[in-house]
Amino acid sequence: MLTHLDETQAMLRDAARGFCVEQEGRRAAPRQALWTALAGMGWTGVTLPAALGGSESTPVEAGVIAFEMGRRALFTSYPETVALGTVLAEADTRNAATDALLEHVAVGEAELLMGQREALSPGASSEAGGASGPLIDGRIVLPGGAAQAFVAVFRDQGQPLLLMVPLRALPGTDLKTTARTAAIAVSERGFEPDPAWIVLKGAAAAHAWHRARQIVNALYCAELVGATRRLHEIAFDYAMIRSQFGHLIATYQAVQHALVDTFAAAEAAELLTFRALNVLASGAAAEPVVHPAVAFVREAAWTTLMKAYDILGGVGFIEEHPISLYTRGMVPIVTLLGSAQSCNEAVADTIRKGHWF
Amino acid sequence: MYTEFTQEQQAFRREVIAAFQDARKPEWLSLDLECPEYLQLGREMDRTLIERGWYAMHWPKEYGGGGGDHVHSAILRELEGYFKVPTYGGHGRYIVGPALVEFGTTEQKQRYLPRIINGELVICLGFTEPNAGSDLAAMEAKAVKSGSDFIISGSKLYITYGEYANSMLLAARTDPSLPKHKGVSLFLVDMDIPGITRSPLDCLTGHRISEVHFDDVRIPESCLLGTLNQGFYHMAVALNFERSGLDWPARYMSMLEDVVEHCRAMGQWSSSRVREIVGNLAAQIEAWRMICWRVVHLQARGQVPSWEASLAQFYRKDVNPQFGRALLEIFGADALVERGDARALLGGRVEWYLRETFNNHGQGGRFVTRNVVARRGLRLPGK
Repeated sequence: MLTHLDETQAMLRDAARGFCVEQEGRRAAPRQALWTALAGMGWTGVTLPAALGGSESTPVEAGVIAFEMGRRALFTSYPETVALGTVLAEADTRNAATDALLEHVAVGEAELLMGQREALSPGASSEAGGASGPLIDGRIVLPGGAAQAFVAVFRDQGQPLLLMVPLRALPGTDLKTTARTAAIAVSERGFEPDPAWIVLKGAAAAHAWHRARQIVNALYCAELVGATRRLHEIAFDYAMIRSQFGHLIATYQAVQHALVDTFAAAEAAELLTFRALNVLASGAAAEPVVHPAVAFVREAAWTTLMKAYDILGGVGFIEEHPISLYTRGMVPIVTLLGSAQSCNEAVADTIRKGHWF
Repeated sequence: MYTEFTQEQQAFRREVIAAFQDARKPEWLSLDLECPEYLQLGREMDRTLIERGWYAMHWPKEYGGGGGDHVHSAILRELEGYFKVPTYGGHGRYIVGPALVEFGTTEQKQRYLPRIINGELVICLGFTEPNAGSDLAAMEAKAVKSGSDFIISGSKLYITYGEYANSMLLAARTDPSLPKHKGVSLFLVDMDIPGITRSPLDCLTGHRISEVHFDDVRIPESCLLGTLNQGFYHMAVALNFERSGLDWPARYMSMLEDVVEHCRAMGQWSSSRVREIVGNLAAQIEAWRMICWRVVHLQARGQVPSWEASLAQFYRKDVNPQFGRALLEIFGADALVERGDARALLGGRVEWYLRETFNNHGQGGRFVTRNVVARRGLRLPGK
């Protein structure tokens, strides 16, 4: 149940739900067809200004769409494209190249990726605060796998630079693509960024990057909550038709408690996620609400996935079972949100006496 | 903070915060909830709340309440938990008062509601019995009709406030021929009637709860609350009035903030392990809090929460055991030092919360709560 949606948002939810059910039936179609269809609904540029072809909506509306896409295991670079599009559009100093790219985003001709630190290589340098140096250097995880540009923060002699890097500018890089991510290894070469790629510098770059990370994390949460909801439904439906030892397995207390756990997790995860998206939409400081959402949703998604496998038993391990699609989509997102430890520490760092005031 | 307060609600919240900051005393942190000093503080604070019109602000004005909606009441309650405001009046404010408004006769409302609001009436709940805990419908205490009276016999167990309450909301079986959850009725019983015996029991947390015996206690028919034999359903609704339970996540978050401050002061905050434990707990408390607020908003829209309230209980039952465990992980053996010893952490509150973590049975433990959500929320079948 999505809560705290106004009438317009509820209508958007219904439209997104119908759209995603339809797209689920076309899963065999080329991936680009889904992206083009999303753009056709006006959703790839959901937060962009009308002058750039966008709908001028907020991260809440994007979250509603991401939730429904996650619910149908339609995992794309939607969160990254929306988050980066939002902060690029908000930038006072964006240039003509950025505007052109955002116009392409709005019509579905461009996706944006977010250069994130390689989860397994803590020493990588694409984060603000990472190693300094004028060269792009490091392993970068690019969620998505099919895009025209990626955006990341690099440091040039200590100054953060928000760069929008066209992928075509990286000839010969080692692009390893999986279902969800592309890892670009540029560490062996390194190259100097084109000045035209620079969107923001200094504190503005750091702030924009920080906001983009918060928005993308909240949208990852929305995707995960949608997927978590659906996993609960799949496990529930199976428990209601599967008999063992002479009874439906839904009558066994152990199974009932597992279903209650997944239900409870999804309920709270959804409330936390949409609270975070609402605060992000308001422009207020969002850390105290985004970090708890990320920590909780990450855990809720993983727990639900595992409990769904517990309930489904052997049938869940068959590749053609729908749960495989969710597993392949959810696990990378869980990874991209960071480790449980880092997520929990981020929550802890927001706690100050009296912050509830 | 919840994001949908109106400006007026935000102003009220600020007013309550200022009032509690002004009234706050160091003794509020004394957590042995029913020790005489704490109860005296509770009496004082109840009077303050009454003077401000906040004590029963969620009741309709026609019954002497503040006429405030559920959101105002919840704001107040959350902040009472955050500031650890001591209270004395038992279950009158949040359970019995709203139940009287819902089910009471005009005479009952006139008799009881003003006495709850002025702090005169301290009410306990007489539901649980020696052989009827989680399976409350199995209760054996009887109320047998005798002319225009009822004769009560039986025992009630684990009664919070039972030692000093002057009134009890009692559930008793009135028709043994009916299915067990259909033959129960509710009564409002004065506790000074002959034949009532209270036997206090000391708890691990320093509370005193009681066993209350009824030995052929005669009460007038006018004590019946609601419809005869519908008590089980009335009871469920009455408990749901209280079940948002917003004071509890606030109380835990406040304590967690104190733990963080202490760790910072003692140089423990640099420990990644400590921050991980604290962050994990804080995220769960926030989740619990959001679930509680949803209950409030359902109530504010005139809906009666059912499984939604049980879900708030679910989170309370899950967080509570983790809290004490976390304190033990963070502080080790230092967590064991009790109040009164200079080495006790946070004046002994760490040690108290360690004991409180085992207080997880009220209104049904973890398994019972999950069973309730399974049946009411998910409508899963029985065998």
